[in-house]
Formats: sequence, structure tokens, C-alpha cells
Amino acid sequence: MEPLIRIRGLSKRFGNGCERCLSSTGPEYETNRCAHCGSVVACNDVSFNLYKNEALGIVGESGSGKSTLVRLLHFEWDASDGSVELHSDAVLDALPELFEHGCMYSRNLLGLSPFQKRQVRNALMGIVYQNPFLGLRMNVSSGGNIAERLLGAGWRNIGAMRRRAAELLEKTEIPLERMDEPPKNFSGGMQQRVQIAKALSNNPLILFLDEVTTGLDLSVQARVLDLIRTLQSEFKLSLLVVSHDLGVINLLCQRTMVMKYGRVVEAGLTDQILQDPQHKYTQLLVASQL
Amino acid sequence: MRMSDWLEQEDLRLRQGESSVGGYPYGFMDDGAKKDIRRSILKAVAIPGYQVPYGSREMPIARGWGTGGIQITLSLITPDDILKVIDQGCDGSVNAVNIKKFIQTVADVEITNDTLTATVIQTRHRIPEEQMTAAQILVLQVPYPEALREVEASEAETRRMHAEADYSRMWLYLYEDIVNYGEITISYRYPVTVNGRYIMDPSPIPRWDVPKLHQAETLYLFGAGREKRIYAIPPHTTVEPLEFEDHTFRVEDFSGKSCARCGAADTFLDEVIENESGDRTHYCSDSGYCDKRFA
Repeated sequence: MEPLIRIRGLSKRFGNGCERCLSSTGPEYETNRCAHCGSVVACNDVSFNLYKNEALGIVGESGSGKSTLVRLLHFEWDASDGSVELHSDAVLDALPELFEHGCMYSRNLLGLSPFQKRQVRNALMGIVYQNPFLGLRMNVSSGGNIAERLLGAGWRNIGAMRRRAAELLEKTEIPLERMDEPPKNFSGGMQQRVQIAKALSNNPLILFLDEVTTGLDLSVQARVLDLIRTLQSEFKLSLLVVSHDLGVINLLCQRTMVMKYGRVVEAGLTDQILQDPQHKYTQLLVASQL
Repeated sequence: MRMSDWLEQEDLRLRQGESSVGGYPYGFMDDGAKKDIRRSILKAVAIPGYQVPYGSREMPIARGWGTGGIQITLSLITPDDILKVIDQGCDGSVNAVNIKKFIQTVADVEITNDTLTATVIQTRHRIPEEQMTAAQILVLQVPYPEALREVEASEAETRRMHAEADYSRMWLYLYEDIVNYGEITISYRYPVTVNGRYIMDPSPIPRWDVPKLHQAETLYLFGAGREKRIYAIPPHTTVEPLEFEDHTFRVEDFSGKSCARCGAADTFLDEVIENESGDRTHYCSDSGYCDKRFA
């Protein structure tokens, strides 16, 4: 089976950079800040594949580059280097201009114009942030939050958009009579579920989950994770799950990557990584959290 | 006279060191300024609905009182032109009269109240009722050129939104309006899509006038002096008000009402409340058209 999306050599550097940045940062040096020029190497040479309907976990402590990775893939930040290619099965019909004639994989998505990047995002990506304030407009109705993505994708029928919003809010267990209320009136768990509904509005193939359960109490965490698992199997989603919580990763993901100081230090099946960690940082992580 | 002939004549006159009207250059502004504004107008015509930044000049009235429109008018006008100036449809309001007097002084043009004989019409917040022709130009005064300002305060961000045609937030604003009030509540400054590309502010004309922008014979020029923007709708351009499939755009409803003076039932009406009796009567907003019918 071919991967849905291929990521090669993805890097992000903040600052001017120098030729010694890469050789003086990383796990061996216990820092991601270049001692010579002060640049921060947030993410360096990250390569992986994401397959259809799989959940890939990314673990690591804060500052390890997990969220940077998601922001690069969601086109919120511009990458310094690397390539992201889509399998033609995914979006050939919707965005034929991304594919050279007869090629199975798209051009490098990181080289697209901002307009094209937004088209790609609207066509196949959804994102759920740790902080609902990032993903939602708190003063706009919950239905409107979902409609925004549909409007961006060219929907122009209020009735159809409201039916779609109602369907998604029902799936995420938000009472429909609260559809026209703004999310600022809701509890943290409900806001997170509205965010999930919004992320799913455009029928994405790939869903980015950035620390979605952090800050929620345990029973709410369990319900949100349960919901994500149900939705994943229902919509055949590929998940990229960023978390520092090995419990969340264990529950959702078949494969896992461990990051430290902007580098991937270990990758493999989640069970393997949790049962038999090879890298000493992973060993520390597993020993301290399980 | 053709514009090019006029420019040649002006050029000659300037080289001879003449200043034509009252010690000022013809049309008040110096030649460089007029050239600059004409260039901005050409760019605006070439990219319908796109706001062209320009160096707005100091005029002898305050910014925000029609200086954008005046600068466009002055940079286009020639002695052969016949000028009409209206303020919310009215030829006789203070703003319109002052602008007319000023332009007449500095450009030595004939003034009219008749839409059909005017060659240049400068207007604030209305488009005349009578159909205009390809030989005429309508200059609209614009207070707020940015249609997206309601939803985004940052100029840098609205420019990005225009550049990338990222208009979902404008549409979301309309969606929320419908959810909250059952219909779109924007009564004037109704946003339109021009030539299938840019969302544009048509200036504070009522909804009634919005359909007149679509596939018109006449060139529409929009000038915002305070905000330093010029934009245009060239003749035969597609102009569509933002609407949903199940909530379509509609104009003001004057059914059952007519002008108390000329009896017109097919014009945009102003409602007037009599002080003593409290009775409501309606009059044509376009005073030139009403005069013509009444005479």
C-alpha cells in the first residue's frame, strides 16, 4: 500500500542560521538553539509516511518540535526545507493542477502559492488545537464556525450548511438546540467537541490533533478520545496525533515517532516503543510516564 | 472633444505658461497630480473592483466630504463637459451645491440638473434613476472603500484576503446575519463581487441601486479621498451582490407607495415625516428626475 502523504526532510529554523546550526543542535547536544548564531532549529530533517486510515502518534517533551511539525503540515508556518507530497488517490479529482501528468504523487505542496495551500487545506485537512480559542471563533455561533469552512469551500446554501452542521454537532454530542450559541458559552469539553465538528466539516482525509485532551478532566478526556476513535473508523481518517501523554498515544495510535530537540529519535509500532524502547530518551519517557 | 486632444491642448497651454482659471491651473490640481490620478484610474479600470492606492491631494474642503470624487472629476473634466453633482439623489443639497460651485470656478464647465444631458456626474450615495449611457461617467464618493472592514480591522490582513480571494469570513458574516435575524440586514454599502473576483464596497448606495452596477453601459469610478483609494467598474462588467441560493438578494420594497410630488411608483423613495401631524409621505430621492416628471 502506498502512503497517502509522503513527508521528506521537513525542517524549520527560526533565525538567520549558519553552517554550524545543524551540527551543533539536536539530542546529542541537549539543545535546539545554535550556540554560534542563536537560531533555533525547531524541526530538522523529519521524514515519514502517513497511510490512509492510520493514526500516527508524535510524542516528545515541550519544545521538541511536535507542534511545529503540525503547523508546517497545516501550512500555518512556512517550512525552511523539505517536501510534502500527496497521493493522487486523495485529491486528483478536486485539485488536478497539483499533479504532473501521470505522476502518482503531487508536486511539493510546500512550494504552492498561499491560495493553493488553502485549497489543499480546505479539500483534505482538519485540525484540532489544544486551545479551542485557536480553532474556533468564540463570538460566532457554533453552526457558523462549521459553516465557515464550508463557505470557504464554496457552499452557498444556508439550508444545506445548517443540515451539515447539525449532522456534525450531533455526531460530536452537542445538543442541537445550542447550535446557534457561540462556543464562548460552552464548557471546555464542549468547546473541544465543537472544534472537532468544525475540523470534520469539509470531510477531511487527514486530521491533525495537537494535544487535544490536555487540560480536560479525565472523564471528559476519555469521552473525547472515544469520539475521535469512533469518527476515525467512520470517516476512514488518517490521524496525526501530537501528545506528550503516552496514554493517549497508546489508545489511538498504531505507529509512533519520538521527537527530541527537533529530531526524530525513534520510530516504530506503538506497542514496540512502549514495551521495548531503544533510545535512552524514550526509555526515560516510558519509565517516567507508565 | 476627445480626451487626448484636450490633453494636447492643455500641454501646449502649460508650455506657454498660461494659467487658465482664477490664478489656478485648469482644474485646480497641477498637471502632475492629475496625471497621477488618471494613471490610478486606468489601473482601476484594468482590474475591476481592485482598490488602487493613490496619493490623495489636499482639496479646499475637508477629507471625508467628497474629496475622492472631486479629485477624480477634476482630473477628467474638460471645458466641453457638462457636470451634474448630487448628494443622496438631491441636486440642491449644501454639499452638492458647494462642490458644483467649486468645480465650476476652477474648471469653467456648464452645470446641469438633467441626468441625460450631463457628461460627468459626481454623486454621493445614489445612482440616478434614469438610465445612463456609454458617453457618460459616474463618479461616486466613497467614505469606506474596504468592504471587508466589518469583519477584519487590519489593513494588511484585508489586503491578504483580497489577494488570495479568501472571502469566507465575509460570507460567514452574512450567514450569522441570517441565523440571527432571518435575513441579511445590510441596507446600504451592500457588498458585491466584481467580475467574479474581488469583493467590492459599492459606496453607501441603497440596495435599490446595486443592480444598476451590473452590465452597465456607463463607466463607474469610485474615489475615497480620505482613505486614498480609487476603484472602478468598467462598462459591461458582471457585478453580483453577495447572496445565498436560499436567501437571495432583494431591493427595498416600496410597493403601494409612490412619490407625493410627481407620482412615480418606480423610483427609490425618501420617507418624510410631517412634524405636526406625524403623517408619513414619500418623495423621489432623485430630485432631478422628480423635477423633470413634475414639470
